[in-house]
Amino acid sequence: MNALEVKGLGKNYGNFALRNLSFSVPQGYITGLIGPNGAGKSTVIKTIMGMVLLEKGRISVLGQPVTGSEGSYKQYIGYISDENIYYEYLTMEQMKRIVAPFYERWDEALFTQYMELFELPKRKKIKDCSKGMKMKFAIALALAHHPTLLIMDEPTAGLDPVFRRELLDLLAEYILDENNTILFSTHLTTDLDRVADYVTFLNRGELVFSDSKDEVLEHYVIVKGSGELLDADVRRELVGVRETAVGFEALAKDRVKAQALFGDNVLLERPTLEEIMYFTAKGGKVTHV
Amino acid sequence: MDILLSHSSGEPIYLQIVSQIRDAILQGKLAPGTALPSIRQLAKELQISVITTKRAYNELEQEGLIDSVVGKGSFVSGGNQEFIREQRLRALESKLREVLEEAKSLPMSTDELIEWMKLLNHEEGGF
Amino acid sequence: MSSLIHLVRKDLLLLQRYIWLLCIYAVVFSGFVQSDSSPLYGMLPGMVLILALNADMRLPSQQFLVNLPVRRSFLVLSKYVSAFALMLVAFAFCMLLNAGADLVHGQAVTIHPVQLLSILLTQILFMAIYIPLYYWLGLNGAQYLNVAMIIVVMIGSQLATDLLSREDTLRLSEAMTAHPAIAGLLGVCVAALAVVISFGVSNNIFARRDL
Repeated sequence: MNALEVKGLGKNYGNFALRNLSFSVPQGYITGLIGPNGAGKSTVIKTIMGMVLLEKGRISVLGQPVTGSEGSYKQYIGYISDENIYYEYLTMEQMKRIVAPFYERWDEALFTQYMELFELPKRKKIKDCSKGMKMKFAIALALAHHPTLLIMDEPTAGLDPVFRRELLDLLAEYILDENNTILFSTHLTTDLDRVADYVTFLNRGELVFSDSKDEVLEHYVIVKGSGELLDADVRRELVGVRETAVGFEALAKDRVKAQALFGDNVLLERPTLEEIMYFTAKGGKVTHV
Repeated sequence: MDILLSHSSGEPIYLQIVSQIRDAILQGKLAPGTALPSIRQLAKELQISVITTKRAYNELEQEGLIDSVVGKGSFVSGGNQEFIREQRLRALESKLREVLEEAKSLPMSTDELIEWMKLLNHEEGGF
Repeated sequence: MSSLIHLVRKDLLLLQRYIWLLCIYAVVFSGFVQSDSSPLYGMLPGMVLILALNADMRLPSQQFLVNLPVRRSFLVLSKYVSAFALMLVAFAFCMLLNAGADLVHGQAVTIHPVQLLSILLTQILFMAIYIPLYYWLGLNGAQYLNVAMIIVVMIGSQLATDLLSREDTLRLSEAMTAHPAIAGLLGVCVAALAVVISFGVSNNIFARRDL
């Protein structure tokens, strides 16, 4: 069962386009949406939330198709924006009073619990809050209506490592209930290296892969070796290459093939998501697993 | 039971979990019938993904070390002492083979090796 | 339907911070201070309308609204309902204020129903033009629109007052006074039609907007 399905999503902005994106977000797991800045992560999330209109393709959330005019599917989504979208001049309490009545499953006690956990003063105006406090407030609002799908757009950008770790704890807590699902977009992949179950990678508006994280990390391999080894045939096997005077470092998308090709002449290492992202963006080629 | 993961060792996380739980069971630290934390609970505690934890439990289940009951969780396999002993013997055997290989390549005779083993055992205060 | 109520409630909550400004403004332009009280009718409801719409003008606020579990068309509709309700309240407030001023000045309370109805209908027409423009011009354009509209409101109400006191318009208003029911009904129909068309246009514009 998938909490979210995207099929053939396309959007043309002239200088930037999403091309034929298809991926799904399995229910009960954490899926990371990764890619460099400008890859289209935000556009995809905004399309799911109905902020950006669906031009081509289909999206369904928890089995319900998303159309431009419909809004009720958002009852089940907790959305956390990368920037503050709440009225700056209101206090957090006033803002909550605006938001709460829209949700059938609003849980006032749970909201208060999160406000206390995050040490957020209710009477503080949102404009006087730090970036971290605004993010915490957004999380409290999003979780207090018991969403079954949590969608977070770059929640950790600009936050300190302490809070980023706390956030991972919160996500793990939320996912203890196997009916819940998280879609988490980020360009800081270290957050995802640990907790993500699935990874969907976008680059320049196209899908590079969408697979289980363990699978991806075992498939891809970092190759380090002498520059003399690089010829046209070898380069074809490499996704992106960083060449220096003292050797090269590259990403290959098939560990077994790389092992056969290079044998003992190179160093093979398990990549991190960041390395996969870096070399893929550098190579600029779109490849499919 | 403690599970200590290294994120920089290069050894896959699920294998680290498997080997640590396996050791705990084989060494008798986890008695048969003991309930293990649920997959999601353990994932939360270790701040790792659910799939990774699931994979570790599947591996342990295949080895016959744990049993999973739908809706109830996972338990250390009971009654299969013979099997566990066999597992441990097999693990020991493979280590002995490694030692023999190494000895052969040095070279060192089997008698010398046995003498050395006895010496080491004596140093550790063994019997 | 309940979400419509929540949206209107939100607009009222957002307008709360302007309440003192509006009160002071109303008193300054009322019969208490001014000899001619009619500009107040022209300006206060117009100001309320502009403030009510502009509370949500910024892009993040638009994003916030679209992320609510509500249809987009409801968001547009709620703006009409809020604006209309607020204008009525503002209008009633003006009437009360001016009636109070008349009493204080020792005059009999004078209410010109024809004049008031025509001002109200003009306000509604103003709303019917303003809201689609607001959606069409989007976020940056709306700032210029507001300046333009405030000038229109100020000059417009002046013009309307002048017009109403001219001879040929007097004759028209005499005709209206002679058949108040027909004239009133006609006016209401025109205003209603304008609002329906206006909503259609606004909704169409907003339904196609990427935020």
